Amino acid sequence: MANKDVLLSVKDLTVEYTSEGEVIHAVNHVSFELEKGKTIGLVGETGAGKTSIARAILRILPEPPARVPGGEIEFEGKDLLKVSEADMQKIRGKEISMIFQDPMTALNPIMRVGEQIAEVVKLHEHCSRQESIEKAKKMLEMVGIPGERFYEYPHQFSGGMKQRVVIAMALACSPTLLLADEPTTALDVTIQAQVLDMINDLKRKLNTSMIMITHDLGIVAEVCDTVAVIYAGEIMEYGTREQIFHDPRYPYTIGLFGSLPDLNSDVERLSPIEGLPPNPADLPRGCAFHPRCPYAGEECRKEHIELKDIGGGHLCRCCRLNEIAAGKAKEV
Amino acid sequence: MSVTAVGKDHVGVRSKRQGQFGQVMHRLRKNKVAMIGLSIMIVLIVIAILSPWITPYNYAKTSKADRYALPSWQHLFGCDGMGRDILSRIMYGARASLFLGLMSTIVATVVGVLLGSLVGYYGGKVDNIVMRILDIIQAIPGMLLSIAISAALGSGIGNTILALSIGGIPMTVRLLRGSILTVRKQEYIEAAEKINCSKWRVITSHILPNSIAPVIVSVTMGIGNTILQAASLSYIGLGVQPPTPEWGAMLSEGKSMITKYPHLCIFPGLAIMLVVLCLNMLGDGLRDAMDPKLKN
Amino acid sequence: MIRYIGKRLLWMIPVMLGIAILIFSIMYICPGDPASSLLGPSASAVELAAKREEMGLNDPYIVRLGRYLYQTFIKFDLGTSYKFGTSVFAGLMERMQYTLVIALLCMALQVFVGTPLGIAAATHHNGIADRICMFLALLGVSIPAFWLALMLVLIFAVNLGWLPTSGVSNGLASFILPCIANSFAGIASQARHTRSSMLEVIRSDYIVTAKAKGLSEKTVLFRHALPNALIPIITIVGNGMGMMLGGTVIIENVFAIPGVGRYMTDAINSRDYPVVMGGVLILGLIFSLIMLLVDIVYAFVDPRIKAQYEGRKGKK
Repeated sequence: MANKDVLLSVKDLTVEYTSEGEVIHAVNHVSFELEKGKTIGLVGETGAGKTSIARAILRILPEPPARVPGGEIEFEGKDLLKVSEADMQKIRGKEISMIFQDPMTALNPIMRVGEQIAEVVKLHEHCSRQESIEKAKKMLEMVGIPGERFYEYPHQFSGGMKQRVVIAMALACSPTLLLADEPTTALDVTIQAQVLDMINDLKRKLNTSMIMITHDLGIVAEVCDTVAVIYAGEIMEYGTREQIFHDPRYPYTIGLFGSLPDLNSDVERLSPIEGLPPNPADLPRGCAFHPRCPYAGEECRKEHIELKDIGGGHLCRCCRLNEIAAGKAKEV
Repeated sequence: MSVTAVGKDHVGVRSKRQGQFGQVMHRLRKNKVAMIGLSIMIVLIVIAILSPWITPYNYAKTSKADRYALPSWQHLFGCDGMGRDILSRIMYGARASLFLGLMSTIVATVVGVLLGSLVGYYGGKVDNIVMRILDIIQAIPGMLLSIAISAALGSGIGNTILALSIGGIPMTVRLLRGSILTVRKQEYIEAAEKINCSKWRVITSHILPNSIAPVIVSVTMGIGNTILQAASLSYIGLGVQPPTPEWGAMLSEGKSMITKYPHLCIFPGLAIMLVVLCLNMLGDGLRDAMDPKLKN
Repeated sequence: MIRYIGKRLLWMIPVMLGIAILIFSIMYICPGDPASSLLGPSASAVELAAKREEMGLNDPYIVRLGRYLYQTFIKFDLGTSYKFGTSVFAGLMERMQYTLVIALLCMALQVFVGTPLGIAAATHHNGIADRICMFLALLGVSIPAFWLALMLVLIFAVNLGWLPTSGVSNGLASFILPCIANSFAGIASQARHTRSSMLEVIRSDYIVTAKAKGLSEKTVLFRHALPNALIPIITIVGNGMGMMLGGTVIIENVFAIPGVGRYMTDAINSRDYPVVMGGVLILGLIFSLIMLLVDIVYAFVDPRIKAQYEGRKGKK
């Protein structure tokens, strides 16, 4: 581990929300590492706690009601949960920046689009106003928007263009870590591909590491090096892209692949995962997935299950791997 | 190629709404300030209803000996220029003041909701004509309009209610219209129309329940505001006239002697303030309960 | 933009006509006889009848309305006061200064005291400062203005003797109590609206975006949150002006200030209809102009609305 070039290491991160007296466990003891220039994908259903992880890293959770009762977020040798707010402000936007999920609401409606990019440039690069405007125009062009649209307002832009602006804003100061929170969910499919290509390109150019938050396995396949499957605020399975895609072990991961349409096989119906995600204020005992798991047994309901290395850094939080493997073998 | 949670969006509109109502009440019950407001309001309404039987003195009984009597154990709030017990008059006066506020708001709301749902739902020409007329009414400052109408119709409770409610109609219409215009665009309205719901049914069971929330809040606050306006009218000699005990009228009677006998004015004013304060506390609570994202 | 303003100004003509018809009709059904209140109780029946004929009170509604509209909108004459025999317009203008001074001072108080209070409350959300501010604001919107006026007089004029009880003979000092009494509710409601608007904006995604850029809390607050939060407040300010104008009617009565409000209440009591109608028209005109100003200000602070006015559709 020591010889790897680790940029970010999250240990035991926990996030809770308090709402009307109930404590909602959004993120539970999440740990992962990210190397320089690599991309990790956080995959899971809506509400699984992916966004909370990203916001906790950037310390922009709404507090209250959110709270980070424990964990460590080590970034370039500093624990981000311990640095002062003033130091954090120097990191935000410069070293770590974020692309938000909904481009429609992520831009200030009464501020010129270019101004919103120039603002972050001026803040972190301590340059003159004129320089920051030049840089902002260059960033706009880099994401495929003519520089003269600097002076327009968000309402004059389409959704895809707004998302490009958000991306330009996030990349303006060449961050070392980019948090992309479902950057394409709100976009049309055709634009999704463009935006994704663009992020990939820019990332390569600037050698940025990235945390890609998504529920779309297609995106994961395209951009991620490692994958963490998140369910009910926990990492259920963790491995390289190849490990997860070629050899998914956790029943939820298997279910995710099962609910994708496969163009090569002639199946009439998809097999979705039955049931709904658990209420995060009242998580089930034992394995959080057991109520929906087709392989669940007695031990899954009893106690909390630990992540286990099942070979080559492939981690899985399941105690019935043998049964699952046997079941699979029978099917074939 | 995406995995989304299935089932969330299939909750029926109706059951969702009832659930919403339950949630609102639940949140309201937890709001201490609103509950204090509500409790005091209930006590005041009970006092107003029972006032003929529970006032310590007859509100109209004069007594030469007690003229301008200062507050004492016999007369907690003192007596007015004719020796009438002020506490009794305030208790009895709650009837007129509360009734005025409540009725004017109800009249304004009923008319406003009818008009608002009409123009909101039909839009087009009807909308244009009604809204332009409302523009005209709203171009006159509300207090001024109430004063003029009140002068034209003469005093008395019924006329005062009319004078106060006309000024309140445009706001209700506007609120509801705006709210309906947003709701109208929702897909479940289109769905209801597609399955051949009658227009009446679409309006009453689909559009109104989903757009009425801002109106309910504004009604609660409106009662308080109307009570203030009613008192102002009585104060300048319009609206409810003496000898009917009404808080504004009592203030008006007492104002000439305020330097010598301030208690004539202090207590009726406090009564008005208490009622309006409680209604606003309740209104605030309702608003927070209906729009929980504003809290916390 | 200029076309929009022109259109709005043109639209004010029918609004003013509407106000004139409305207020004329209200006055028409007013009980009481202007002739008798003009001549006094000693006038004989013959004198009264002659006076009524001379004033045109015997003509049918539509004729009188037509005459009033012709006189007002073609000849720009608001008529003559029955009571004083002087021009209504001159009478109104002479008194307008007091009313406008009070209304404008109150507006200033509302904006410059209410807004900071609301911001302070929102930024200390759920803290002690917030709670105190909001309790005071709640109290503020619940106090009857005229009662507050009476209490202020009682304390500061009668007992402490610091300020005059009534009239306008003491210069600015005469306006302190009327303005405080008249603007108290406005300040309170401004603070409440600013706070809730601010709280709503603070929760917006673009505020999170701004934070994620590394901006300091102050910059986020003043450069991103406040301008957005103030947009809906502009309407409150406009409505506040209407409230202040209406409120001066009451306040001028309490403090015996010879402004338009008092002129009009006196006129209502003495059936001096031309004064009432003229007063309503002029105040309505002022209020309409203010609302137009509000809409123009909107266009300047919110580019989305400006685009709407200019008929240019934003690409969506």
